[in-house]
This record gives sequence, C-alpha cells and structure tokens, in this order.
Amino acid sequence: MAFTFTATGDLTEMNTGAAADWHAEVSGYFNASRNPPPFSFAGSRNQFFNPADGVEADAVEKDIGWTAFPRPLTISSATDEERWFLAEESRFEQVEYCEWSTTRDASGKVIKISFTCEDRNYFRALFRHQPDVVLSLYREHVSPDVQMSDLVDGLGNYVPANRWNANSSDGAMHMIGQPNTIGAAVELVAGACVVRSNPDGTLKTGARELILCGRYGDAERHSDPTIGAEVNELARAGHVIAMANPPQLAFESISFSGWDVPDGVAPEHCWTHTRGADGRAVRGVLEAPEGASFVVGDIRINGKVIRFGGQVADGIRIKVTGLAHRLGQATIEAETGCLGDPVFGAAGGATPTPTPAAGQVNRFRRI
Amino acid sequence: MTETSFDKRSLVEQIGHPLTADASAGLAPTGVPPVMRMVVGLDPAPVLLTPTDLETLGDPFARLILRRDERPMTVDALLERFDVLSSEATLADAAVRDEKVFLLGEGGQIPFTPATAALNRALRFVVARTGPNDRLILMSVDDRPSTVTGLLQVLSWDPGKGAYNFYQRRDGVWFYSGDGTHALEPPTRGRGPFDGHVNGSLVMKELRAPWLHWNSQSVPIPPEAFAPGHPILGHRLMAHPDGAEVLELDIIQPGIDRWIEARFDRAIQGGTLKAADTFLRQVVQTTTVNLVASDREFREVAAGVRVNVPPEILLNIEAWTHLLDPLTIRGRVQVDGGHLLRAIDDLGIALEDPAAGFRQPGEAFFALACPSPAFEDLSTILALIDRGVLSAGLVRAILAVDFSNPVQSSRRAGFLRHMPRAGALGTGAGSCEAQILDAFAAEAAARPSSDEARVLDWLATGDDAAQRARIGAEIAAYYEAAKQRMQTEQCVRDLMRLIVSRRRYFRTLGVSEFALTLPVDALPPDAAPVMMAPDATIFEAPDLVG
Repeated sequence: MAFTFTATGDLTEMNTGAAADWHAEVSGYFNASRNPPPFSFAGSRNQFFNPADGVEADAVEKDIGWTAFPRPLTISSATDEERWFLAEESRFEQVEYCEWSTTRDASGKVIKISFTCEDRNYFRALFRHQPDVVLSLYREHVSPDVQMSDLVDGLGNYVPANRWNANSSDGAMHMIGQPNTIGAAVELVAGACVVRSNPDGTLKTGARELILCGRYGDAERHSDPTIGAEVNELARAGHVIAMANPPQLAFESISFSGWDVPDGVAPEHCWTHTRGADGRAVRGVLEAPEGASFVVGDIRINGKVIRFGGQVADGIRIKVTGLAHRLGQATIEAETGCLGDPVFGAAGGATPTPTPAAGQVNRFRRI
Repeated sequence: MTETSFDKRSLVEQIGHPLTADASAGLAPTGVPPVMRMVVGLDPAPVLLTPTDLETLGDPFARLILRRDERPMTVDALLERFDVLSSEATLADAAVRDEKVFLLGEGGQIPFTPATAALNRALRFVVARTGPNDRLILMSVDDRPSTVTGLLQVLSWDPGKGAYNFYQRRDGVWFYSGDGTHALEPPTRGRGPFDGHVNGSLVMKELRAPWLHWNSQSVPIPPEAFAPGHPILGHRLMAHPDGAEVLELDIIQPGIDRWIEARFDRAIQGGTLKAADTFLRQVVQTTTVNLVASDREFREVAAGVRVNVPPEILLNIEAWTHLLDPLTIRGRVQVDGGHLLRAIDDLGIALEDPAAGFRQPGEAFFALACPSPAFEDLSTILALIDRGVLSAGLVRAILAVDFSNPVQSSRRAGFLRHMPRAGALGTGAGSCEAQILDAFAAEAAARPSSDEARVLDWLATGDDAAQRARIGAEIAAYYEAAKQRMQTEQCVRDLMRLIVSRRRYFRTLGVSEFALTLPVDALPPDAAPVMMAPDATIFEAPDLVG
C-alpha cells in the first residue's frame, strides 16, 4: 500500500489535492535531507531515511521533548521578568518551535494566550487548494474580523506573516519564525544521524558538542541540541532514523505545577488543545472557562500573576517524534572531523569530502 | 539524600539475625522482616516499629508497602510492587501509577575509558512515582537495581502529617529515618538525613539550568557514561530518562512549596506563628544552598568566548525579582574566556577524585559552578510575606544588607538574635514584625552605624514604591558596576577567587557528598574566605560564616 504522509496533528481539513501536495512537500524534505551539505566532514547520511520509502516491522518511535520558552532569551536575561518581557516583544524571538500571542483587555490584563506549533508551509499548501478553509480557520482561531485580503499579497499568494499572524498581540495562527518549520526539524534529524568521533576515537555524545560539530542547528536553543543529541544516541546504537508519521511539531505536555487559579478552578480547565489529535496537538489556548469570574491575568504561577505568555511557555514542552527501524543493523561510519573543517592531506574523514557541485545546497540548514 | 550511620551491633540485637540479607531474592526470604526506626538524635539504637507504629505513617510508600507487610528489598522488586499494587482497586487512594526517571552523576560527562574506569561517577537515578492529590514517592537509587545492597532511599509525602517521611534500605532492613519536622529542631536538626535535607524538604542541589550533573535538555548523560555492557543499559530505568528540567518544575519546586505551606499551616495557631525562629532564620541565614553554573560548557571556554556569569553569584536574584520593580536588573554579566582560563590556571582549579587518582585541570562540565541561595529559603521568605508574618518592606530591607553576598553573609546572620520565638501575624503589637523592629530600634539606638540602623533607614524611605526604588537603584548600580569590572583580567580572577571561597564553604555542608560535585583549588588550606563589596570588588573576610 502506498505510503502517504498525513497532515500534522492528524488534521482532516485538507482535500485530496492539498493532501497530495502536502505529502509531496514533506517527502521532499526527507529526500533533500538525505544529501549531506557540500562541505568537508559532512558525513554520510546512510542512517537517515525517508519513511515514504518504507518502514521495517521492527520500527520504534521515540518522543523527544524540550521547553517551549526560548533559551536564547533565558541566557541573555538577568531575571525571569526580563526574559518574559523580551519574549513578548516579537514572535521572531520565539525560536523553540512554539510561538504565542497574548490577548489583553483595555487595561492590559491578559485574557487569552494562544500557542501554536503549526508549520507555515502546511498553511501555504492548504491555501493553494482551499483558501476559504484557511480563512475560516483564521476566523475561528484568531478573529472573526479576518478578511481574505488580509492574508494575501498583491498576487493573491498567501502571506504567512500577515496582519493577523505577525506579532505576539494580534493573533497567532501558525509559526512564522524562520527556523520554526518541519523542514528544519527534518534536516536537523538528518544531520544528527551522523555519528562523530573525537581525535582519541571516543564518540561525541554531548548535545552541544554534537551540534557545534555537525552544525545542523542552533546550539543556543533548547530544541535543536536536544533533538540532535537524542537522535544521535539512536544513530550510535546502529539504528536507521527518520521522523515518525506525521512529521510534525506537537505539544508534549504542559505543567500546572505552582498554578493558583481563582475560585478553586483546576488549571486544566483553562487549557484547551484546539487543533490536532490527542498526543499530536498543534495548538493550545489558555483562557478562563466560560462563565468564570476571572481571566487569565488573575491566575498566578509560582506566586506571580500571568502577565506574559512566557510564564506559561516555561511549563510547555514541545516534541518531535523520532522513528528508528533496522535496529542495530546500520553500518556506523563515524566522522572524524567537524562540518566545514579544513582537510589536511588526503584524509577527509570517514566519507569523501564532496565538492560543492556534488551535493545539493539544503534548504533547511539552520547554522 | 544522605546516608545515616549507626551502630550495626545494636541492629543485630534488635532484629535477631545477621545484617546480611538473602541476596538472591527481591522479597525477604522467610517471614516478614521488621521495619526499624532510627531517628538520629532521638534513637541511640534502632527501634522496632510495631504495626501500631506503622499505622501512623500515612504516606503512599508506607501504605502500599510497609503497612501491608510487603518487604521488597531491591529497586526492581519495589518498582514491580508499585506497578502491581497501584492497579489494585482497594489501594486506589494510595496508588502511584505514574513513573518518571531522572539520571544524574557527578562524573556523568566524563567518558568511560580505561584511564577513568576506576572513577566513581556517582551515577544514580531519582525515580518519582506519583498519583492524584499530591501523592509522591521519590526514590534515590544507584545503578544496581537488582541487588539488595547499595543506595535505596525513599522520601514520601505524608498528607496527614504534612511532612515527608524518610526511609532507607540498609543491610536488608527497611528503616524509617524520621520526617521533615525532625529537621527543624534539636536534637535531630542537622543529623541523619537532615544534614543534607536541612529544612526537612526535598533536595535537588542543581535545581536550575543548566542542571549541572543531571541528564537534562542542557546536556544528556549518555549510555557511554556507563561501563560497556553494564547491565543497567538495558534496564527500564534507562529506557528514557526525563530531563532534570521536568524534575525541577513538576516535582521538586512544588514539593518544596508544599512542605513549606504545611509547615506554616501547622505553626500558625490562633493568629500566632509558633516556632517563628525556624522560619525567620531562613531569611537571614544561609541554611542551605543550591548550585548554579554558567550555561557555557567549560570545554568551549577560550579567549574571545563570552561566558555568562550566573547572576545568582552576584545577587539573590530570584528574591529581588519578587521584591523590586520589574526590569530593575537587566542583562548578563559576562567575562572573557581567556581571562577566565588564566584565573582557573592561576588558582589551580581542577576536578579531583583522590580515591581514584583522578585529576582533570579546569572547571566542572559547566563553568563557574557555585553555591547560591537555596530555593527552599526563597520559598519560605515569600510565604512569610504571603502569610502576613513579615511585610515585603522589612524583608526587602533585611535582604538589602550585604546584598552583594547572597550566601554566607555574617552580617545578615547577625540578625538572627533579633528573631522572636513566636509572634502574632501582621504588624501590630506582639507581632513578629513589631518584635523585630523593636529589637532593631534598640540596636540602632545603641549603635547608630549598625546594620539594624541601616534597615530602619531604608524602611523610613517613604512608601513601598519609594523604598523599592531606592534599594533597587543601589542594587542596579552594583550590578552594572559588576558588568564593567568583569571586563578586566584582574576582576575575573577576583570573581574566580570568590567562587573558590564559596566552593570551600559548600564542602563544609552536609549536602556535599561527592568529590566531583565541585572543582577544588590549589590555594593554601587556610586561605581566608572572601566576600564581594557593593562596588563589585572582593575582600578577605576571615570571620565569614562557615
């Protein structure tokens, strides 16, 4: 039976044409990422595969999760207040495959926070075939005031960072940050499948040393090094690796530890996954239950009222689901250098150094 | 968790058989072995717990295991019993179905090679079994889960008591080592498990990012940290350990808060706080510490690399976040990696385990690891304000004394003598706050230049906003001065010297258990402790606390 990549979150809104388009898009990510970048010590990607080419019966899945709050802001801020404030300034600061928008009342009090880990390219594919569905999604999840003209450019093409999806206060339909795409995650997994060794022959195992050496993502984030380290552990075990179907970012969990909700309401009753199947949710909304006497800005986390979406993002975990098959059967070709290192003499690592013309420039590298 | 020593001869006499349990089975071989009580400071020798005694233990570990005459003696057997018993309908109100496993080890980032094979990496697991209504069993276990020896310690929340019960398996016997209340008063304070669990709470030293020594989203502890072929590699504990960030957020922080709230619930009677000094000391003393570190891995440190200094080294940053206006303190103090490497070399800093003949020059896996104010002290401080024991203004003014030394401040510790044993809530006559202010006023009258006078001066600034602004300005000026000063090589050396001093202090605490927890230095053993001045310079302080 032909394999088809299903929609993120197992969403069912795509018609046949859109679904085929999306399958081709995602399959393209995998195919492109099978080619190592055209630099020295890129390493063989023989332990990475496209699930569309077939998955063996021994396949196992592994969830890989991380904190949604952007680490770059954490390590540049002195206090929680500072990093929460900065994260609210721009969606482009929200770089952990999760973005949010905070809705406030006239006094500035928070009444709703919408979190999304949906891919902009999914919406592009959907829009190509079903623009009215995209419009209705915006009206349902962002604002009933959204007009089709708000979503397109002069040529009628969908604009991901449109006026209803461009900042952290007017709505968030899907992610818009440059690195926040499924394609980037696929490339990250592919790059992390390269086993790398130290000069003494021991294998690199650390999250940062691996990503700094393989340059498959941003070492300063939570997400990229974590994905890389866990995938590389699978590679060192001799497995052949991909992302599980549907390849996606998803909400793994939200912690309500330290929450104090007025009127004794359980915090779980304020949180709703509004898009995506159980375990694969791609959208989460924090809002007081209907009829409640309070709003989100009255909820306290660790003694502090919610004033920023980042306070909630601290407790949200995003995940990708890795897929491994042919367990322990791969030939491990440990790469002895790091991506882009100068090559001395004839030695070029475990794999020949490609010439720039030999490889394809990968669209999703995040170095 | 720390191990408790006791006289084994007494134990033999009490339980009637040698202390070498049958190593072949997870469950005790014959009959039902007794459960012993050994609360160090109270019990000169182990005491047999009767069934009636056991009935007083209301935590899920006691309810599922000990009170039902279950005696699993291995980690494997214990986890299996939790699995089975938690699914029994009759035990639903004690069930702990959810399991999370966390991995740590002071040598977890040191590759296993023939040269390091003898090193004690202290690799161990924390297993959290949880259920509804704050049900919690927290186990600290080593990498030999099928054996009846080694590390197996248990903390379990007793909702009836409002305290954690402490247990451990020793020599084939389950021991009850006391509960959190024993940590608070002599003769049990600081003894047995409470030399590490100083205030009776959960302990995760490296509570905050980057969670030095823990498997986390900052750095994993890989399978390669264990010896090749180690049986643990295929064990359920290694199936998918969670990151330390989950332990911090979901288990430890709420677990500490829960304990502190229970302490207050118990101690506040009729509008009066009893045993007030046991709470108030956590404002003025460093009762225990957490460990912070830079986000920068030491192996990345090089000339030209900017290294973030954890702000907790310079300030009680989490407390000030609550007590000052938002954004009073901004940005990071950074040092140059080249300056740092020279300071490290100059001070002879190295990771060292003499027992294994191991020495590795330089810092721990993350640079600038250092003791910092403990979250359990902060949580107590905030609860004192929330409960109306102290005003935010008084807390702010007290913490502003010697603010550049967030731990080990002998000046703030000197205020302990003013802390009342009991007092009413609020600010009226007889309140804790009024008693403290009266004592401060008396001291200020006798010594106008005293720190007590300084506190009163801050309190007299005006309204709360004015006081926040005044103290905030002083602290912000200090923080900005630190940013500037740390650009020079000498000042980076001073910073490292300060960290060395605090590391030495840490090694005097009960919570310090392993050689590799923090690096050592090559300064003379009698080198004076140092402190930080409000202008971000350091000075020697021979009489420093600790």
